[in-house]
Order: sequence, then structure tokens, then C-alpha cells
Amino acid sequence: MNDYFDAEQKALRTVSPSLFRRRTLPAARLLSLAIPQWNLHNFLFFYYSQINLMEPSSEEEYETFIEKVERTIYLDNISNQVTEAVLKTALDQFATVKNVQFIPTYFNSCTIYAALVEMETAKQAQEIVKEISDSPFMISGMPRPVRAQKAKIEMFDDRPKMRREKIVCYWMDPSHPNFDVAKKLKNLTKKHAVEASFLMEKQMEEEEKLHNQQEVSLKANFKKYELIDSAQGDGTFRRLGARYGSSYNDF
Amino acid sequence: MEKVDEDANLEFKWLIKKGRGGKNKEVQFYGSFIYDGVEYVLYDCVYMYKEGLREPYIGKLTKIWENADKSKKVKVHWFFRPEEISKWLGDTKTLENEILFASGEGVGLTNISPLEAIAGKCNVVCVSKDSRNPQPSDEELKAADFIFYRTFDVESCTILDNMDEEKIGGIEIKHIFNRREDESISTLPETNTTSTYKKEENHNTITLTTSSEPKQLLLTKTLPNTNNLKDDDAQDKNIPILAAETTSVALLEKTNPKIDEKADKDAMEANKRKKSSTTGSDKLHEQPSKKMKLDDKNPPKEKQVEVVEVDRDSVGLKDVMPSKKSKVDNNVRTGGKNSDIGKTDTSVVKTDKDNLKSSKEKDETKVSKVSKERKKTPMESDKLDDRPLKKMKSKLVANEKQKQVEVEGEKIEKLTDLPSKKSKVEDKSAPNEKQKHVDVVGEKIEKLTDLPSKKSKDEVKSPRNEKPKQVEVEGEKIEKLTDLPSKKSKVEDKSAPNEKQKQVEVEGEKIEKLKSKVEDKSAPNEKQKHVDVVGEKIEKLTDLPSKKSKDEVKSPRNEKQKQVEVVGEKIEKSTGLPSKKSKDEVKSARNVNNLGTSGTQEEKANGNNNNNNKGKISDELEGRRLKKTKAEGSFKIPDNKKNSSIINSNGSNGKNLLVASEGKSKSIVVGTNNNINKENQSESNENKKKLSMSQSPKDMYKEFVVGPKPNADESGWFERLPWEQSLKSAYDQGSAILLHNVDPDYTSGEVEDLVWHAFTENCEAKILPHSVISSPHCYQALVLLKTKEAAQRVLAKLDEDCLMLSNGRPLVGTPCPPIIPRKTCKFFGHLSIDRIKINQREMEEAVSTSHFSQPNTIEYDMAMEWFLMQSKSKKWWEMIYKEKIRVCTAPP
Repeated sequence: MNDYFDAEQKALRTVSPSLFRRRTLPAARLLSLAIPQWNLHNFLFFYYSQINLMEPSSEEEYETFIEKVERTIYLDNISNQVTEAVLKTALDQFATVKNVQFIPTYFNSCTIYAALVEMETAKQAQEIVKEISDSPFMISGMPRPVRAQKAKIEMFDDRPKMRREKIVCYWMDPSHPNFDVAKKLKNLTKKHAVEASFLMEKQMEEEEKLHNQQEVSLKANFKKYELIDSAQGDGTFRRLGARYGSSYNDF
Repeated sequence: MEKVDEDANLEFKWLIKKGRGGKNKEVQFYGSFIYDGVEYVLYDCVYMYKEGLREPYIGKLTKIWENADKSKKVKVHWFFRPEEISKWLGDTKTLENEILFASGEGVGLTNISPLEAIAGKCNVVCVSKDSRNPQPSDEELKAADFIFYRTFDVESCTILDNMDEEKIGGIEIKHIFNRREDESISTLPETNTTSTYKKEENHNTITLTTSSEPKQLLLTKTLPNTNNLKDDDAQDKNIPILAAETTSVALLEKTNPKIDEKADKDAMEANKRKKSSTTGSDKLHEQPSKKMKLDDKNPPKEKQVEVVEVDRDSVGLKDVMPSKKSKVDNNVRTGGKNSDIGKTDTSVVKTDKDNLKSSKEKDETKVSKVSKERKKTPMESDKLDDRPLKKMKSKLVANEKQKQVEVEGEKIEKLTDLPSKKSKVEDKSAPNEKQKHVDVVGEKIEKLTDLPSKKSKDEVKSPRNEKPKQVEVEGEKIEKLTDLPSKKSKVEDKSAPNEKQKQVEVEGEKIEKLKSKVEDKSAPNEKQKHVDVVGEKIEKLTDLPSKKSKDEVKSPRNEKQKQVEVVGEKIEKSTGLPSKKSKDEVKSARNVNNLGTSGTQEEKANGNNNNNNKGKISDELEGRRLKKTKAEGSFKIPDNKKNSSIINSNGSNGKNLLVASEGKSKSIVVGTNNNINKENQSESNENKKKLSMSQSPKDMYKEFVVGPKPNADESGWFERLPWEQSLKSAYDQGSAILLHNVDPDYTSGEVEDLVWHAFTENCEAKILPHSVISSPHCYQALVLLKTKEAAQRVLAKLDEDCLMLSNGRPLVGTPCPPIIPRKTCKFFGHLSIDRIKINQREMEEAVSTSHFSQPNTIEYDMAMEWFLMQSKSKKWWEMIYKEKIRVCTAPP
């Protein structure tokens, strides 16, 4: 027995370095996703400081979270009528759905009604994203296809604590030379928020326009087919064929 | 079985055991216990869970016991939520979070429940204006889950606005009001019963004595810094403990006089007072030393004196003489001040201020002063014990200079923290003034003697009257002081000036009294004697340094001894009141205040922290002094301010009262004390660190660490409303705000912590999850504050100032944009034809309605159009964020 345990421990010991390596890589990638606009220096500093400050427990928690992010797909352009059951059924044809989580939207971004669907493996998630991007996939409605992409960390509102030691904040002294800069940044932020919501409105308008346009064309098409259908049904085709001397089967 | 196991898994432990009761003594009562990781103490307020109720009941634990069958029970005295008694409330308005305490007798007052029904601790703060109720601080109020100040009579079903009775529903009123953080002295004056005071005093003394040992250690540690002191300390290693005891006694005595203002007590305590008086004188000496060493030095001096006293009465007398000298010196100063009559008050204040100011800048000078003081103190001690030390003095400085120095030292001692007064003292110490001073001193001595004479001698009867008055004045001051401290930090700051004024007034009164006394006294021969004594003292002073004739000194000693005894008695008496009085009657006002406050602080601290170390006490005293100095307007002393700010911040952090913060400050001081020389630096450093929370303008801009907010665990047990629900209600209320630029890796909890630390507001926060169209560099969080006012305050603050987060971005707050319920918003792109509506049913049944569209359909064409639209959308969002980044990163 003792020998057995020793062997197992040795095996664990030999495995652990590779485990560590494997663990840090996705973290790096995801961090880079989370803060894409940081410059390299900042990012590296941030990254390494994170590594150094990692605590075993929170690190593990974070690791599992990141793995979860890896195998989750983000779906948007879905209807607000879609329920969890509908999503599950829709995606179960690709692979088993583990969990569905809707991203709440509180404000005017209703069109960006979206959901996070957790699959069993990251590979499955990747495949589904590819499938849905290649050909239009409809869920509980037509003709607007859903859009799928890989989920990102910041799409989860229940993400665990980053491995950070302390949050240090301060009120900037008005006499500080950067105070004006900070003020400008604040104004910019507000401006951007307004711009974003304006763009959102614009997008809604565009969508509505497209919607209306499609509705019209759909109606026209529908009318056309109805007409053809009725022509077929009430014997018009036959009569016309007889009149023009052609066989009904040609149509 | 499983349930039982679950219960067993919850941590439970009895802590304080109380008596047994019941028929067969089978019931064991307890005073506190730990349940599920939380410590509950008798008279804590708790949530009581009842199945089926959304909101738990709130009650106060009034009894805790375990039955013979091991079932654990608690008796709970209920609070009523306004909605529970809305039927009887009528038009009565209730405050937000207000609850009412049950009173009267009958159903609904109390219940006996299984202990396991306790769902958690509830922070209930009593805001009653009743004088017996320790007033809560702002922080406490903010942290409070509920407040109450009224009671609801369960018999008559009426609301009572006051709580005048000694007991409500069988509970003593003191258990209903807020807890004194530690049975602080400050609260004592409010209580009428002397017995309780005495008890408290005893308790204090005990704690003090126990604490003395650590001080010794400190002293020994501190000794290296001060050579003279070292020598003295080395000589009197045993002294520290005694000193500590004496100090405690003095404190007790002080508290007594404050409380009772009775001469009887003084008489009763005469013996003790003697010791205390000697200690008081020691204290005077010690104070300078304290100044030097900050905290630790004081006890040793006192100890020395005490030791002397304890060992031999005669020795004590001798010892007293040195102390008297210091006193005399002090008197001389005061006398000088008196001579300046009109100016005395202002001068005192000025000197205090100067001292305060000088404290920082004069750390170096302090050191020198300290050294001087040390010299003095050693000299005194030396005088008492051995004259060689006197030789030292003589060697050290000229007689006059020595006197001046002594006077300065005394003054410094009086000021305790203010070494800067030297210059003034020196000026005052001018020879002519000295004579006057001497006269004044003589008067003072007379007074002093009068005081003692009251006890032992009939000579000075008038002084008694004066003394009681003084005592009263001091008592009032103390009360005021105590009241002030009980208030918030702001109050403290304010209190400083008040104290000053009071002190000044008191001083003025004292001076007048002294003058009158002197005049009165001058009539009898005693004046001459006093004068002689003074002369002797002066001689001693001069002699001491010169050490010319020990005999002369001795001869005066005899006289002096008498006087000293008298003085000692007086001092004792005065110390009994405010031990500091003995030191410097005029200046003593301040000292008294300091002592009184410090005493209260000490008591509080003891109660709270159970840290009865003398060092702490001394630290507290110093801390107070620092505060006072700050308050007094020594704006030049950043350290002091920092300390105060620290204290404030501590208080705010912990929601603790000033007392608690004081305790913290004490501990801080203690820490610094260990590194005597480094005290200033370390204090400043610590202050800086902790300043972040402080409210002073400079401190405001310091970095602060966002840790878990206090009481986070308390709210944890309480199931929060569903987020959507609370968001809706908060939005309707206008208390929801949207934060932009949140650091991407903050969690919702951390945002809550941030809001707490930056604005001291409790809130509920949620990070908004990103969607594809969210700005990749702007993270947002919704914050739901408790009130609309709070939300507006936060918004205004964020708008006005820049709160820089750890990602280097300023936090931006905007009102919450309109919330659109999900179901009501339109979704474009799903077209339906009548015929296809069949699908509706399928969807409701969650049948799969998904499919890939085939390329040969109209649907496919339309889907392609939507694809185009999605690509365009992606593009323009990318564009806009790219532009934003460009703008943000562009050079200004």
C-alpha cells in the first residue's frame, strides 16, 4: 500500500509542472481578451502581477471559471421570446447543453438580447460557432438568424474575483496636474456612453427598416405564391393550358 | 437524522457561563455563545427566523440558557417593525429603518424561543436623546440596520416617545441603550450612583495595575533613548509598576471628584490621595518625560514617585518635594501668567498652541527638551533619592536656566505634548517675573497647602471652597469633554476649541481663585511660610543644580516637606479630581481635561479592548493630547492631525464610536511608543496610510485600499431580493445609478465595497455583463443605493471630484437610464405569415423551432440580408470604439 501511495505521489509531482504551464496559458489569453486596449507594457505588468498574486484557492476557482468560459458560446440576435428550454432544444442537436444563462439587458439594448450557452467541451462550442456562422440558423423565428461567437470573460456577471491583492483607489487632488485630464476622461466616458446609445438607436432603426422592407417583400412573395396556389387550386391553370394548347404539367 | 446532523454541523459553543437556576438548578444560564460562527452576547439584537415570514423578527436577547434536556433557549425581547404595528401607528410617522422597542407587560413583549431560531445578528442603534444613552456616531448610524428611540407599549398599544423608566419590560435601561464601548468614564458622570462609579474605578485601577507590566517593558526599551531617563529608570526598575498603579489611582480619584464633586470622597480618599498626589507630582514629572518618550516615559516617572511613596512616607515626602518643585515651577509659570492676568488665558492658549505647533517641528527640540525634562525629572528623583543627580542638574544648566528649563519642562509636562512653550516659558521666567512668579508660586503653594490643610490642617479653609469649585469646574469640563468625545469625530474636532475655551475659562477662574486665595492666604503667616518655602524651593532649584548646600536644601526640605505634604495632599485631592490639577492648577485645567478624557478613554479602551496596559493608557493620554493639540489649532502638526484623522477613519471603518477609534489610536500609539524616537515618523506613516479614510482635505486625496466593507457578513445571511426586483424599486425611487469606467476585474461585491469606502454608503451593485456591442474598454456597474439622496450625493461627488480606480481611470456616475422590461421591447426580424403562426404553439411547448435555412428559399435570402445587417452592425460598433480609443489615447 505504501508503495502504491508513494508512486502516486511521485506521479503527481511529475505532473504538476506541466499542469501549471497548461493552466497559465489560457489565463493569459483570456486576460488579453479582457483588456484588449491596454498597451503591452501595462498588460505584461498586469499579467505578471496577477500570476504573482495568485492564491491557490482563488486561482483554482478562476481556472474552473475560465474553463467554463472556454466552452461557452455567446448567442445574440435571438428573439426576446426565446426561453431557456427553446435554446436547449435548439442546440441539443449539436451537442449536450450544460447550462443556459441569459445576459440581462436593462436599458435600450433589447435587440441585443443574448444568451450564454455552456456546452460540454470547448471543442463542441467551437464547432457550433462555426456551424451557425456559416449558414443561417433560426431559432423560434424567421428569417433573422442568430449569431454565435465565443464567450468572453466579461460577459459573465458572476465572474469570480480576480487574483488581485488589493484594490487601491484614491480621490484625485484637484491641484494635481492630471486632474484636468481625469475630468476630460470622465466627460469622454459620458460622451461615449451617449454615443453608444445613439448608435444603438440607429441600429434599431436600421433593423426596423430592414424588418419592414422584408415584411413588405415577404408579403408580396406570399401574395404571389398564394395567387399561384389559388390558380392551381381553382383550375385556372388547366383552363389556361387548354386555351394555349399546352399541357398543365409544363407549369 | 439529516437535519440533526445539519444542526450539529453549525458551529456552536457556549462562552460565558452564568449562574444556574430553575427548580433543581438544572438550568444553566449563559452570557454569550458562538453560533454558526457568530458570537452572540447577552443583550445583542438578533434576527429571529420564523418559517413562512419573509422578514425575520428583530429582538434583543435578554436571557440565554440551556435546559436539563440540553435544549438551548433564549428569551427575546421584541422590537416591532412599523408595518407590524401599523394598525396602531395611525398617522405617526416613522423614520426609515425605524423599529420600536416593546415595553409594558403582556403578550408580544418577549418570547422564549429555541436558540437555533436565531438567524443572525442585527445592528440596532438607539438614537434616543436620553442623556443616559451613548450617542451613536454617523458611521454607526450608517452601518445600522435599524434604529429606535421609541417604545411600543404592548398593553395599551401606544407609542411612547421617551424611555424614562429605569427598566423597560424588566430590562435595565442601560442594556437597552447603546452599549458603551467599554463602560467609559465619560458616561460615568451621567450616572448618579456613586457606587457604580467606585466599582468602575476599582475596575479601572485593576486594569491599570495589570497593565503596568507591559509598560515596564516599554520603559526598559525606551530607556536606551534617553540617557538620563535610563539612569533613573535603571535605578528605579520597580518604580514603573507602582507608578502605573498610582496613575490608575489618580485616574480613579479624578473620576471620583468629577463625578461627585464632593469633599467627602476627597477626605475618604485622603490616604489614597496622598499616594495619588505624589503620583500626580510624579505624573507631572512624568509628563515631561512622556513628552520626551511620548508614552512610555510617563509611567516610569510615576512609578518612581509611587515607589518612593510606597516605600517610605518620609521618602515620599522627599519625593514629593521634587514633585513640588515641579509644581512650584508650574505655579511660577502660572504665577507669571497670573501677573499677566488678562493675558494669562490667552497666553496659556497660545502656549498650548505653540506647544502643539512646536510638537511637530520641535521633535528635535522636543528631544532636547525631553532631555532637559529628563534631566529635570531625574533631578527631582535624584533630589528625592540622591542629590548627585542634582549635581547633574547644576552642571547641566545655570540655576536660572535650570529654573527656566524646569519651568519649561513643567509647562511642557503640563502641555505634555507641547515642548514649544519653552520660549514663552523662558520669557516668563525672566528674573523679575520669576520673583512675581515666586510670589504667585507662593500663593499657589498656599493654595496647595490650603488644600492639604483642609485635610490635615485647619489653616486653609478657604482653599477648600475654592477647590471644590475648581473640582466642579473641572468636573464640568470633564463632563463636557466626555460628552464631546462621545460625539462624532467632528465633535471631537469641535470639542477641542470648546475644551480650550473651557479650559481658558477655567484657568481664568482658577487664576482668580488663586489670586483671591493668595490674598486671603497672604493674611496668615502661611503666606510667608509659603513664600519662604518658595524661596527655599527656588533655592533648591538653584541649589540643586549647584548642590551647594545639601543642608540648606534639607532645611527647606523640612519646611518643604510639610508643604510638600500639604501639596501632596492637595495634589492628591486635585488628582482625585483631575490628577492634573495638582500638577498645574491653572494649566491643570487642560491637563485635567486631558486626564479626564484620557481616563475615560482608558476606561473605554479597557472595556473594549481589554487591553489594560499602562502603556496604552499613557498612549491614550498622549493620543488625546495630540487630538487636543490638533483641535487647539496646531495646524502645523500634521502628525497630530493625522492621528486624529486616523482615529476618525478607524472609527468610520469599524463603525465604532470614537472610543473604539481611540482604542485604535492607542494601539497605534503603543506601537509607535516602542520605537520611542521613531514615534513621530512611524505615527506619521501610519497616519498617512490610514488617512485615506479621514475627512481632512489632505487626507482625502490619499490612496485607500478597498477591503471588504464592514458588516458584510451580517447582510450575508439575509436573502436579498431578486436583483430585478430591487433594481426596479430602486429605479422607481431614483436611487439607482450607473457607474462607468469600472475596472474590468471588479466583481459586483467589490463595487459594493468600493462604494462603501469611497462614499460610506451601503449599496447593492451589479457589474453589467458585456454583450457584443458593449464598449470593450468601458465597464459598467449598476449601483442601487438606499435612498435617492444618497444617490444624488454620490453622483455629485463623482462629478465634482475624480475617484481614480486601480486601473487608472476615473469613475464616472450617471443616473440610471430608463429600464425597459424585457418582454415589452420590440424585436425585429421575425416575420410571420398567418399560416406559419402554428409555430407559436410549438414554441410554447418548447418544441424545437430551430433549423438551418436552405439556400433555395426566400427565407434564406432574407437571412442573408440579416447577415449583412449583422456584419454592418459589427463594423460600426467596432468603428465607434476604435474612435473612442483613439480619442482617449490621443495626446491632449
